[in-house]
Amino acid sequence: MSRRIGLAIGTRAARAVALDPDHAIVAVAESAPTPDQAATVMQLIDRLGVAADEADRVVLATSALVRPLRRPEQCARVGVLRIGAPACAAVPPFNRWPTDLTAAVRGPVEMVRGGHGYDGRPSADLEVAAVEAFARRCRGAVDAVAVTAVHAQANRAHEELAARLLTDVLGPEIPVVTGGDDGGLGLLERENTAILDAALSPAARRTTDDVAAALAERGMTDELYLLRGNGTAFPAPAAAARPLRTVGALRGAAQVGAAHCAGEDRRPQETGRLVEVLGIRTNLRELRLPAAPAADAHAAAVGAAIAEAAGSIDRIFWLGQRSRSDAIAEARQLAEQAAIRAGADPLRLREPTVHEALMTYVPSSCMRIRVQAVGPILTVARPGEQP
Amino acid sequence: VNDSFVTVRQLLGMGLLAHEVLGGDSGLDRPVRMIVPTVSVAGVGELGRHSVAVFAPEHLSVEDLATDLALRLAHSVGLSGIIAQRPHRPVPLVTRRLADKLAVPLIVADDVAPAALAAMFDPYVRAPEIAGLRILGTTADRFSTPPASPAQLTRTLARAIGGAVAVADAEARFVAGDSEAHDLLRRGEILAHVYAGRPVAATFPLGGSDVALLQPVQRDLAAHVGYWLVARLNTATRALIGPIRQAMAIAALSFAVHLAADAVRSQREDRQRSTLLAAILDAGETPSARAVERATALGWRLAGWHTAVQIAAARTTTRPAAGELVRELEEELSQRQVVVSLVEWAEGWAGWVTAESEADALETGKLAAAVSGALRAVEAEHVGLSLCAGIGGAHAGTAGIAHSLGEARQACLLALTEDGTGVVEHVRSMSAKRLLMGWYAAAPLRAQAVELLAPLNEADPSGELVRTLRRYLDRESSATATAASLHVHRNTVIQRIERIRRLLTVDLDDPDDRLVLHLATRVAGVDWDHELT
Repeated sequence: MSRRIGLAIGTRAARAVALDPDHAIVAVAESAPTPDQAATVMQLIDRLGVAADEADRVVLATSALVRPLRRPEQCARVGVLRIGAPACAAVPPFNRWPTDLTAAVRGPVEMVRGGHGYDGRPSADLEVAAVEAFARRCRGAVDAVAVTAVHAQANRAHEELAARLLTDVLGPEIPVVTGGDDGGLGLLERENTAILDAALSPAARRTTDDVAAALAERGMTDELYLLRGNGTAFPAPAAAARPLRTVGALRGAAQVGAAHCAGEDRRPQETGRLVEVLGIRTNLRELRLPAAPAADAHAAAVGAAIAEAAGSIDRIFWLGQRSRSDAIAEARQLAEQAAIRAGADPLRLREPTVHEALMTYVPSSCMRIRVQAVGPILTVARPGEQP
Repeated sequence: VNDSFVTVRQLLGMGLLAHEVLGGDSGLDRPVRMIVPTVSVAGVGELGRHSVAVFAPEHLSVEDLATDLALRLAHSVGLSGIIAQRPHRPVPLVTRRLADKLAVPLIVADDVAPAALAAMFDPYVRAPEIAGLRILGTTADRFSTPPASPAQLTRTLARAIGGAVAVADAEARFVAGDSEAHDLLRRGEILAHVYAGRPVAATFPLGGSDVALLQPVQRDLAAHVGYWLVARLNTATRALIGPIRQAMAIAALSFAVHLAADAVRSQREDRQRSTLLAAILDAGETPSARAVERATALGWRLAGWHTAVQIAAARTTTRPAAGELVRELEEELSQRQVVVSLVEWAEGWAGWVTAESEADALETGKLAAAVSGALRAVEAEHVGLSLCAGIGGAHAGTAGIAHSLGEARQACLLALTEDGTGVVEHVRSMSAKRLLMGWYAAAPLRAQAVELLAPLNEADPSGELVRTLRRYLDRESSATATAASLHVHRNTVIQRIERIRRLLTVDLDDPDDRLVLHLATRVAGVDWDHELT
């Protein structure tokens, strides 16, 4: 019988549940959290008493990946590349950041020419030589790099090219985070998010690798997911690359779990408001959460176990000759692809929610579209098993 | 609708495309219905089940995140694989593992031109019979040079037929290849076929959609089956089973050529060794420089104190190939710290060990024990084989080799006259026996022996009566002791002796006659060499 394991590990409590395919709880466990995330995970799983070959998915809601933000000395040093000079140089990176965090994270900073307009057309060629010079400055001086280009949410070409040039010089072990992955209209918010992700990424990768290795050692599934702050799950390698998305994961899990335990199938909805982390504006969105019924102690673990995968898009679409419905169809497809990449089963995606707004303050016909696509996580039959 | 398919593995195995499978190996046995040039990752989700999507480099870079999406969409529609350009940068491990998890083969090649590639594979996809011919052709090509080893045989064949292949020996033991394919031999009916030993190919359904193919390998038509090839295949490829069976036969034939060539080579080497040894012995103390060089190359030592060993087959109903026997003996001896290179010599095999000084060479007890142990070990491997050996004294120099070999041979002849397994005689312990050697070697005695024993051999060609008589005389004419040593009832011995008395022309109660008879039974059956005396 296949089991889905949900874990909720905070600083004060660590709980786990095992659910059967009908989402009924078959086992619960708790333990005291330790600084060693993998050890805590394995202790909980041992107490659950689920056989190694029964667990087909492990979903972890944890505050561990973003904890270094409170202890800046544990953050990685980050090289920051902004593409879009000279137009976008008015506010430099690290604006209004806490001083101690800036001191710990700030590595070489460079602004180069390049980037696109809001409609996705290039406004200047990427200054390749300057990117390469920046990459050489970063060599040996940083643990990670954040790259953000102006209007990358409309066209990611320059961010991707710069990321490749950086990886060629720095090697595959240095994470290069690009700001345009998650959309969002503000350059500074995308950049702040990319820098925070880069600062957390090396430690996050170690943590998720440790947990995955501990599971593998028991002969358990390599299907490890982490919970995002919005109550949906994403695969461990994606979490290692974008750990900031786990901010608020325990709260999101508790909300989803509490609604489920109360017999309701309500899930958090994204609002348009942006999340601030330590006073730093990011492009993560706040959630409108369902009114929480009386919370069960294991609600967060249940919320993790039943989490689905989501993808969202927030972009300006330049209409030109296209109709509004074409633009919405494209936005939906992009959001669905993002959800599939996050692990959603392509055949079971639900109808996405679409928010649109005509933009009247730009000189051509365009609209801002936000779409969120959600669906159950894909379950792959083990070898020799009939799907 | 054609219900017969070619699989991804078989298509790739045809050698049409230099490729690498980055992940999703477990999906390689999926059937292929169509090869589709694809221009967008999102388009993968629109393809039909069992298609293979081919991307031009401008439409998919394997090192990009877009590949993850392509794999997930491919899995959701039941694609059989994705072919794309080989990337310049390393492909993230995450992507390879995703391909593995979803069992979607991710294949990269150089210079991928989707339309041309689809056109190239198309005939084989549409008409698997053509693919069968192609497989047969590729196999014939690849096996036009015999494989150098069983491992190479299985590698090449597995690639050619697109299935798991193993080689097992005549008793179904694993030799090389895929261990899961070899596990098929544990199935009752398949194992029964192997043990029956008849050189016939066979096909066994495995339940589900798989079949096992079994192909014998014979060194020549008269020989026993030396090896078995066993392959596991998917029957979605029904049209291909015929050609694949033929392909296996070609591979078996090619491997047989390798085995035969190997046997001929080792025979030739054995003969060359014998010739070389004869040349060295003939030359006495001054062998030619060339002979010394060749002897050194074989690891033979000419200087020092030599102790020779002569081994012979006493009685034998089965006789393994001489080359194999020599290698087994050398192996068993080396396991007992006796490193010796055996040469075919005087109706058997001889070799010598060399010590720096005479004092070292004298430790013959250990040598005798090692030789005896090695003989027993080899006998145990071959039912019906009985070996014995003689060990010579230690003598110095090249001439010493000849001297010691001569003694070893005498000792070996003495050992041949004795019963038991692993009999080893040493020339030094032969004081009484040496005297007997003189008697045994005397032509009149041997002639007399043949004549004396002729009535017994006529009445009982199996030699049982002669053996019984010898044991009886060896054991002071005690029927009880004789019965015990022959593992028969005492009455049987008494009856046989009564019969022997009636058949013999001499009187068993006369001491002189009894002594001559006793000696005659000792030399009976031993093939004496005239040169020795």
